[in-house]
Amino acid sequence: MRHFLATLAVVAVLAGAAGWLSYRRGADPELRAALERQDALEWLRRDFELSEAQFREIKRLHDDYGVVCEEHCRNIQDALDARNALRRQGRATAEELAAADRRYEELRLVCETAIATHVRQCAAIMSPQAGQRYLALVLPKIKDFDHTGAPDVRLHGPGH
Amino acid sequence: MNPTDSSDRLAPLLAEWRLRPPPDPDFRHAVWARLQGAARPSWAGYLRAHLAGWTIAAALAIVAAGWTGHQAAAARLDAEREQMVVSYLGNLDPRVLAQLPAR
Repeated sequence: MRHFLATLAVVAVLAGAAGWLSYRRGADPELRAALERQDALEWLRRDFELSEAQFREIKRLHDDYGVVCEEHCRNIQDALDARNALRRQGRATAEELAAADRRYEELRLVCETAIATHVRQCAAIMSPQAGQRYLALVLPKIKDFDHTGAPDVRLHGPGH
Repeated sequence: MNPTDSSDRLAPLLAEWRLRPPPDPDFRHAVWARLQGAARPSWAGYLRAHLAGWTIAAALAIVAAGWTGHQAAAARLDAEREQMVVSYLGNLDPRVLAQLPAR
């Protein structure tokens, strides 16, 4: 019984070591580091195995899109403010309120279309397999708009 | 020298000789311990006797633990990736930047 228990303990230690090693080596350490740093561009590079040229092109697309994104953000905010102001006044007609609602919804749709187009452009730069995986990750969230967490990743320069 | 003379002198000496060892209260216990030790195999002996069984058990345990570790790492990576996608889109999506409520 003593030898049985001793052997069992050795096997358990070996199995534990194998599990721990497998856990530690289960993911690309640089990908993990990018995720922990919340470095979105580095995440894209590692997770989707971008070449240097692909990485530069996607970074350029993101930088360009940043300008469009800011404009859409401003337009949506303005439309929302206008609609809320109309509601607060209480003197607006039903048609005016409906028009403000329509304007706001249109801008939301424009925004949703623009971001979907942008991510498709990014996916087109990746390898077909990586592009599909990328789209499978981001498109459902864009469509469902369930990613309202604080945008705290490093993607653009300090101006955005 | 005549061997017969020598034997004649030795015989009475042996007849008178008495061995009187000091009493050892642990003697019996020590004898039993040695007997049991001889009957019980060493760990190396135990392993040699059960080599095939323990080899299979160890291989299965190591493979299972390795697979579990890999799955746990993949699950953690998926969770971190999910969080990254949320933050990434938060930076790209004007609806988030405009602080619109989720649908």
